[in-house]
Amino acid sequence: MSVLEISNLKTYFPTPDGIVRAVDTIDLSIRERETLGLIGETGCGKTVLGLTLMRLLQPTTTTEGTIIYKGTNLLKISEAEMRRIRGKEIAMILQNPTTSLNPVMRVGGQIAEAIRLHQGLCKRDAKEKAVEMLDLVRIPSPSQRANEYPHEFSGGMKQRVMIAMGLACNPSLIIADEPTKGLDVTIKSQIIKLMKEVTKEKAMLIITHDLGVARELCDRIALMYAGELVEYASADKIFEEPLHPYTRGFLGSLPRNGLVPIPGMSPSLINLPDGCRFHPRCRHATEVCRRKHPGMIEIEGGHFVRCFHA
Amino acid sequence: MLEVARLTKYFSSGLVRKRYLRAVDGVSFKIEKGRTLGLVGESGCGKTTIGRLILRLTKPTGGKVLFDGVDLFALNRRELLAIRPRIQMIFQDPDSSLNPRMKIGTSIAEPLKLHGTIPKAKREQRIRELIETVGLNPEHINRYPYQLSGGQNQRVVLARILAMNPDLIIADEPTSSLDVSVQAQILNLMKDLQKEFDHTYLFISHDLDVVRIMADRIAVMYLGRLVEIGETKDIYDHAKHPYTQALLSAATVDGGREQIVLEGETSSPIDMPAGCRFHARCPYMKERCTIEEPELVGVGRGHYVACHLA
Repeated sequence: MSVLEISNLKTYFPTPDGIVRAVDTIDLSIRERETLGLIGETGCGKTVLGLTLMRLLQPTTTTEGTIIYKGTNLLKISEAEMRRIRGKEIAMILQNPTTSLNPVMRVGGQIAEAIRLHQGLCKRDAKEKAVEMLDLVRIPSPSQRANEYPHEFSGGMKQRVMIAMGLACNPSLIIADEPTKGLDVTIKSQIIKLMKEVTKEKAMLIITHDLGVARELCDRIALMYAGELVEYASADKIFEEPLHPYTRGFLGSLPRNGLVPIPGMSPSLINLPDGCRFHPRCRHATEVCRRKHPGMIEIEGGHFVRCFHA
Repeated sequence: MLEVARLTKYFSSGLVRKRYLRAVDGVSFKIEKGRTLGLVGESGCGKTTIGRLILRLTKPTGGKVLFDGVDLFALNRRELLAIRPRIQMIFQDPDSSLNPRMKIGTSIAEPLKLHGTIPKAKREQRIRELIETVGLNPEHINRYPYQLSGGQNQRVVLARILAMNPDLIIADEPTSSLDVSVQAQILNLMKDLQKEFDHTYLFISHDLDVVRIMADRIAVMYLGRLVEIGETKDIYDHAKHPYTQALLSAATVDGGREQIVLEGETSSPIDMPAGCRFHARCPYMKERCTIEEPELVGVGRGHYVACHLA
C-alpha cells in the first residue's frame, strides 16, 4: 500500500525571464515503511518537489497534478486542513539545522511547540515528551539539554534535534531534505545510523545529492534531472545495473569510480533542450534523442528508465 | 619544495585568565616538488589554519615554514611580496573568491597588472591563453561571475592563479561546493595542470575519496595534530590509526569495509583532553592513552602514526 501517490505533478515558477519548470510531470509513489531516495544535482528541482509536497511554496507558484496522501489530494484541501497534516502526518526534516531552529527559543520548547499544537498536550506533558524525543535521538542528559539554546549545540547535535522534531508527532511520512549536509564525515555516519534506527517503521522520502547517504538508507531510488525523473528502481539496481546514461555518468564521476566527468552542465530550467533533456551531454545521443522527448519505460519489474536506448 | 616544521598556532581568548585554543599544535611535514600532499581532517581540526599560516595570512605562534629553502616567517614585507606570486591559494567557494563587479577578463588581468610580469600589449593575449588552458571559451572574458556556473567560476579562479606561474598551490576544499559531475571536471583539470606545469599541491579536504585521487601522500589531522601520514596507498590499505580507519569506513559507498561509527564528537580545542587527543572517541582506548600523548612513530616506508597501539 502506498502512503503517498504523486501523479503528473508540475510546479512552475513565473519569473521575468520566463517560466521555470522546476518539477515537470513527476509520477512517484512511496509505500509504507519504505525509504525512497530522490537524487539529483543542484537545480534539478528536487528540493522544490519536497516543498511542493508540503505545500510550502509561494502562492504565485503554479502547481498541477495530484498528490494523494492516504486517499486525500493534498493540492485540493484548504490551508487549515493542510496545517493539520503538516508536522503531524507528514513531517519535514530540513537541511541546514542552524537556520531552521529558532535561535532565541530553548530547544525543548521548540520541540514541545509542535507536540502541543498537534496532540493537545498541556505544557508540562509536552515538555516531558520533548525530553523523551531528545533521548530517542541519543542526546546525552536530555532534560538538561532541553533547556539550552541552539547555539549551545554542535552541528551534529542540532541535526539530531531536527530529527527529534520531525518524529515528535509520530508522522506517517517523513521528508528529509539533505539530512546530512554540512556535517563532518564521522558525524554523518552517526546521523545515518540514527536515522536507520528511528525511522524503521516509517515511510520516508530522502532528498539528497549524496550517493553514500542514499546507498545506506534507501530501498528505492529515483534520479532526477532537469525537472523530471530519468530513472527509478530499487537501490541495488541503481548502483549495480544503472541504465540511464545520466545515472551511469553520475556514478562514474565519483572519485572512487574513476572520476569520469559528465561533459557540459545541467540545462537551465527556463530553457530546456528539445527532445531528451540530457541529449546535449549524452555520449549515446542519436537523431531521435534530439527530436523526441522520451517517456518513462519499464524495463523489468519496477525498473523505469527515460531513454530510447536503454 | 615545502617543509613545515613544528608549526604551531594558538588563538588566545580572555583578558585576565587567558585561555588558548590550540588550532595547530606542532605539525611537521614535507612536500617534494611536483607532488601532492592531501591534508585530511574534520571541521575545526586546524587544516585550513595550516594553509593560511603557510601563506602568512595569520601570524604563527611557533615553528618554521621553508619554501624552496627560504624561511617564510623570517621575510620582511617586501621580500614576502616578492615570493607570494609563487605560492597561490584556491578557496572553497569560487563565487566569493571573485569580485562580482569585475568581468572575468579583468579579474584574471588583475594579478598580471599588479606584478607587472607581462607588458600591457601582450596582456590580452595572455588572458586568452589562460582562459583556454582552463577549458573556457574566449567569449567568457566579457562576462560577470554571476553569469557563470560554480564550476566555471572555479576554472576562472584557476586561470587567475596560473597567471602568476606559481610553484606551490594550496587548495582548500576546492570542490566541496560543487556537484559531483562538475567536481570530476575540476579535479581532472587540476591534475592535468599539475602535470603540465609541475605544480606542487597542498590539497586540503575532508573528503577522503577526493584526496585518494589527488594525493601522493596523505596526512590525517585531528585536533591540531597529525595522527597519521604516509603514502596514499599505505594509508588506504594499511591505516594504522583508529581515527583514520573510522574516516575510511565512513567514506565508503560500496559497503566494502565494515562501518566503524565513532561515538561522541571532537572535543573542544580549548580544553584539550590529557593524553591522546582522540582517546575519548577511540574504540581501542587503553589506560596509557589517557595519560601520555603519543608521538608520530615510523612504521616503515615514510609511514608515521601517532598511536600507542599501532
